[in-house]
Amino acid sequence: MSTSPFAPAYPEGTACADIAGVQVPVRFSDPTAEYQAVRERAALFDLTGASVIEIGGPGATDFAQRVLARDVEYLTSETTMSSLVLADDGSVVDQVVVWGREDGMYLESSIGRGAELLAHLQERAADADAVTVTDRTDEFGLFALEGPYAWGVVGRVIDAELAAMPFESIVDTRWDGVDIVFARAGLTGEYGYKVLAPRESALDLWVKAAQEATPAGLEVLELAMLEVRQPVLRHETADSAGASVLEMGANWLVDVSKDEFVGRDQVLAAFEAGSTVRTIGFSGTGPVPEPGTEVTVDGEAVGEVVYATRRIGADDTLGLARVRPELAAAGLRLTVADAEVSTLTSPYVTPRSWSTPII
Amino acid sequence: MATRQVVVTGVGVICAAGADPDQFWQRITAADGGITAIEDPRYSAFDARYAGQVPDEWIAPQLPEGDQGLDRTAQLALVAARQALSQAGVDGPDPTRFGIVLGKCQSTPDGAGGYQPMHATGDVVAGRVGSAGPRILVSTACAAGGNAVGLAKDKILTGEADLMLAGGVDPLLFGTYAGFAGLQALSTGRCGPYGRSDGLNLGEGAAFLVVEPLDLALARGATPLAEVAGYGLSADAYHATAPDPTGRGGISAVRRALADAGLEPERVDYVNGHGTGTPANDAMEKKVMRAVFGDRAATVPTSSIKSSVGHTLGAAGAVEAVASLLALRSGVAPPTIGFSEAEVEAATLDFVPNAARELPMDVVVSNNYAFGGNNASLVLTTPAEPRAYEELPAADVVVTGLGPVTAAAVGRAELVTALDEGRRAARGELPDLGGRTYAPRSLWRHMNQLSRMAIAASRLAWEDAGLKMTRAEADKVGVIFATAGGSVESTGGFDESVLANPNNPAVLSFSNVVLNATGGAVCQALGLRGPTTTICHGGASASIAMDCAVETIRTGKAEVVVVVAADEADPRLDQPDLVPATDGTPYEAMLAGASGAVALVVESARHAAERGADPVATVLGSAHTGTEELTDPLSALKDTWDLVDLVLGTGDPAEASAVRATLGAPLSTGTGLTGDARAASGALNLVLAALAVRDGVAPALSSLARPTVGSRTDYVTSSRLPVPARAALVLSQAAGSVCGATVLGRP
Amino acid sequence: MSTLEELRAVADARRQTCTQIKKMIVTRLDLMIDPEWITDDQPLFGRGLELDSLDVLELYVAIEAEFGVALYDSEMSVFGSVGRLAEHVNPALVEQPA
Repeated sequence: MSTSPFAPAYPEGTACADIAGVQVPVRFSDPTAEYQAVRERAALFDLTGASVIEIGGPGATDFAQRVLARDVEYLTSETTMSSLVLADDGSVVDQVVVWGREDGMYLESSIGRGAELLAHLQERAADADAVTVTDRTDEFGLFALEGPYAWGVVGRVIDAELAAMPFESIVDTRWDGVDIVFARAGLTGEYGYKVLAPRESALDLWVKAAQEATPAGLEVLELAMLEVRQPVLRHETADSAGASVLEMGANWLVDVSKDEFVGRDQVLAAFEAGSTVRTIGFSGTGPVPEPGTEVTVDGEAVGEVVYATRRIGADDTLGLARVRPELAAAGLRLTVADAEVSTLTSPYVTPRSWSTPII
Repeated sequence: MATRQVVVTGVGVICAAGADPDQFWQRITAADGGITAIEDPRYSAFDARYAGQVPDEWIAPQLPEGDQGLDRTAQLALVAARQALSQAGVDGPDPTRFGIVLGKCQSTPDGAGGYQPMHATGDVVAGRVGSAGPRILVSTACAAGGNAVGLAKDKILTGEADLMLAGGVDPLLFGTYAGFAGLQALSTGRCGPYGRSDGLNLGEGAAFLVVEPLDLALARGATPLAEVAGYGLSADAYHATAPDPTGRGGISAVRRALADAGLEPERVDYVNGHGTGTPANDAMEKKVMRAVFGDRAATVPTSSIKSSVGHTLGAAGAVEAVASLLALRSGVAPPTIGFSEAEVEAATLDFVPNAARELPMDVVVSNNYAFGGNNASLVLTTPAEPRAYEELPAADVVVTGLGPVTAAAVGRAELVTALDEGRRAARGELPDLGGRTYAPRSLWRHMNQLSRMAIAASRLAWEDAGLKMTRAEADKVGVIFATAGGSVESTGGFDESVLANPNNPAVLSFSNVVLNATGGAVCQALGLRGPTTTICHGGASASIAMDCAVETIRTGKAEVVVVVAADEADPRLDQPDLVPATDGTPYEAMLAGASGAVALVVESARHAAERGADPVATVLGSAHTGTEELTDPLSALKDTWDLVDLVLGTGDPAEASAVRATLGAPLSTGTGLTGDARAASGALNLVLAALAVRDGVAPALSSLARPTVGSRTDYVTSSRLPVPARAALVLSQAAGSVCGATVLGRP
Repeated sequence: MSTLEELRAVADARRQTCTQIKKMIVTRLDLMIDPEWITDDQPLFGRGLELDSLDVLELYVAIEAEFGVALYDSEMSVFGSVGRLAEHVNPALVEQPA
């Protein structure tokens, strides 16, 4: 059981959960306050629970091109991007954030999927040339600042220049004498920044950030991700078995114009073969349905709930369902466990950042 | 190393705020701006109707009778040029030692309203003022004017000239106006730089500075007005039209300029900003101020005169250099007009709002930030006492990478094969990039044909050079882009869209119409942020660019520079008697236009040796003259004649005459492979010269039967030389303008 | 309660507009993908389709030409997804079925 390097700074009453053997903070104080922080000001997220795996060696880029579904040909030590990692059968192993490094790159797993990702990569590396796969999670502390005014926090607490970095760029820089890797990237649709720091110095930086931004737990993070259709892998892939790219609607995390990568042919074949089920968002007023709950129309089963959750700041539930392709559209009324739900257009909440300029 | 001091001895300006420097300065400092509503009914199509216009009545009285028939752009330029020369007291200079660097963004029509090459304006001015020395048309978008002053200084440091006119010009043109309107970049009223920041006003005008060595100025009794202490260039490598929001490109240019001047930021008394009034630019500039000056930032006055004169594009850098000089001399900081009370209150930096201010100054920085992410910064200082100086170190520069992208061959290996096989491309054939995207997809798809070819060529040259660089090193690599005509595709597409509906211009095309767009795209694709310039000088563009690259390395501004030339076949230039490469041979027939891009990696010999590179050739020398006599640059390189085993030209029979009259080596050209790709052909010749020296291959004019000048024995008719050339000379020319010669030898 | 048939019809109407938009985006912006590869829900700028400010300007023009709807003064949320764009150019999609 491992804990977060930021745990010593958690307020009294922080609720944690065991996610794949890691103590992840789910709620720090009051979820409503935490949610307001991410949608109205700036929230601080502890990303412990994500693994950081280094791909190194002279064969790193070639290896990455094989295991990642998107193209890293132009990845530099100043860029970051998201990509899926697929299995041989085209199912999703994980969604990773790729951090370009001078030599090689880091792959940051989604929360809770680090072990699956590592196992998959190690297996693949076994018959690859000149590449090393190293789990470096324990060497780092990783946190994120997200919100319409996250840039202001970055400006006040770290550096004003960093606040205006281009989206998906990273920079090696120093913060209070600590060498960090700083990224402009996020998960909630608001302005997002991430700090990857050496574990032994990370706590101090968290404390500084917490003076200006509100610590927010996994509950709020995953709700905010759902609200902008950012995949939450640990909910969207059933058990540990992979889900299908097309069923998840994660097409944009796969680049089929890249010549070769694990799972490419399977995904393309599935695309050609036409739809099985498709994912659509919904909201409703009933109790929160369990994953797997049937979705019906006029009593006829048309799909099932992937997962759902109670909204914060509104009285309803928000969730994803997998339904027949011809019904995977917004603007429909369906039934979930005797309650009426409406299917939605993404994003389900408009990030305030879209209309807030960085000054 | 203390370099020779270079000073300004005369200035000239004509723009919305004044017909000459006195009126200009009087009105600027009186906050009497020149932005007015546009009367021309065509402009009623736009919501934005203000611009910095020059009344025609100001121009004619300042021109002699004979100049009244010239096109308006040339007239504006001549007015300013003569003012500057007059103030400098220049009378009867040696034409061969007197040069011009002119900045211009837009393609401007000739007196009859028809097409003329970009460099024609510079040629007209040169002709009228008696300049036959180095001549360069630089087109680094809004930074061109400032860039010109820096390049002029370099020409003096290298000893190529004793007197230079550096400046810029651009008229107000409807098409450009529509383009900026389409990008939603224009303010609907008079602009408010650093305050309201709701968009820019375009402007027109011209400005020139007479630049010469301090020692020669004093010797002839001229009064130095200011010293050109240094300049710095950088590329954002970020986006075609938006500046890098972190401001790091702008910061880098200022720091490089100060380093070039040997000055610390603490010494700067006043900054003349770019200050267009667009939110993106203004926000970025504030960051530059804070980053460069730190805690001191709020006490360094910085103002923009663009709310007084508008954004004069190619002239801006020069107009603002003149304003900076006048500020320095008069001890008055010009105001940024257009601030409201509330905006003055809210300002966190000192923008000298609304009223000029007395301010003794010795060090002034003038900044320009162009579309395509090209940044230029100039440092002007009170002239100092003459001091001892060292000449620039001799050029020790090698070519380490070759990247040809032509219809006959893509890549160095394919080119050698094409030479051996005598391959020729058909009319209109485009280089085959083989489905490879040479840049990230999101960037590549915004690229027009010209940019794609240039990026491919640059990447191939980079790979050929075997360069492996860290981020920090790549930040210092320079890029000199050379083109005769820019993107024909985008210009055509844009012009059509404006004709169809000025309110719906093709904005993607417009961002590619600026001539430096492709240069910016190369920087963005390869992540290069070093000194960047765009040379737009007809068929001589590539050899002039090569010169600039060598100067950049000699003056210590970079260790590695990518020279990339690209052009497209332009149907407007096709005459009926031009034949495709498949149907005719150069020196016998005139070949039709072609599209292509060719890049070379140029490096200091020391840097190449340190990294264990394998140079292809070394640069032995070059000469460019503002004459149309090819024998002039050839004679200037007499010392190399004994080594030159091969001459590469453009296919003009006049070259054969000149070569026979001077060094008498076998002549050939790369245009036989594809047709005349103008700047790209010039760079192809440089590549072929390097291959001749390295591998002993050359383009064979095997079908040459009846050359216009001389006989077959005067030309290269076999693709394999008996031994690799000891040296190869490349001839270049821009019709009616300049000619040049560049010699490459064994490393 | 709507029947399966009615729901399919509503979904079809939306799909038509979405497909039209996807084709327009792919053609106008020279994207090398099958229009149907774009999902209704993925973001268009930043992550997702990774369009930038120049693309957006181009799309304003394209949308006006094809749908007769002027988006110039709209907020960026209009480009939040193909679905959002569809609702803007075809407001009929937002009416709830009876």
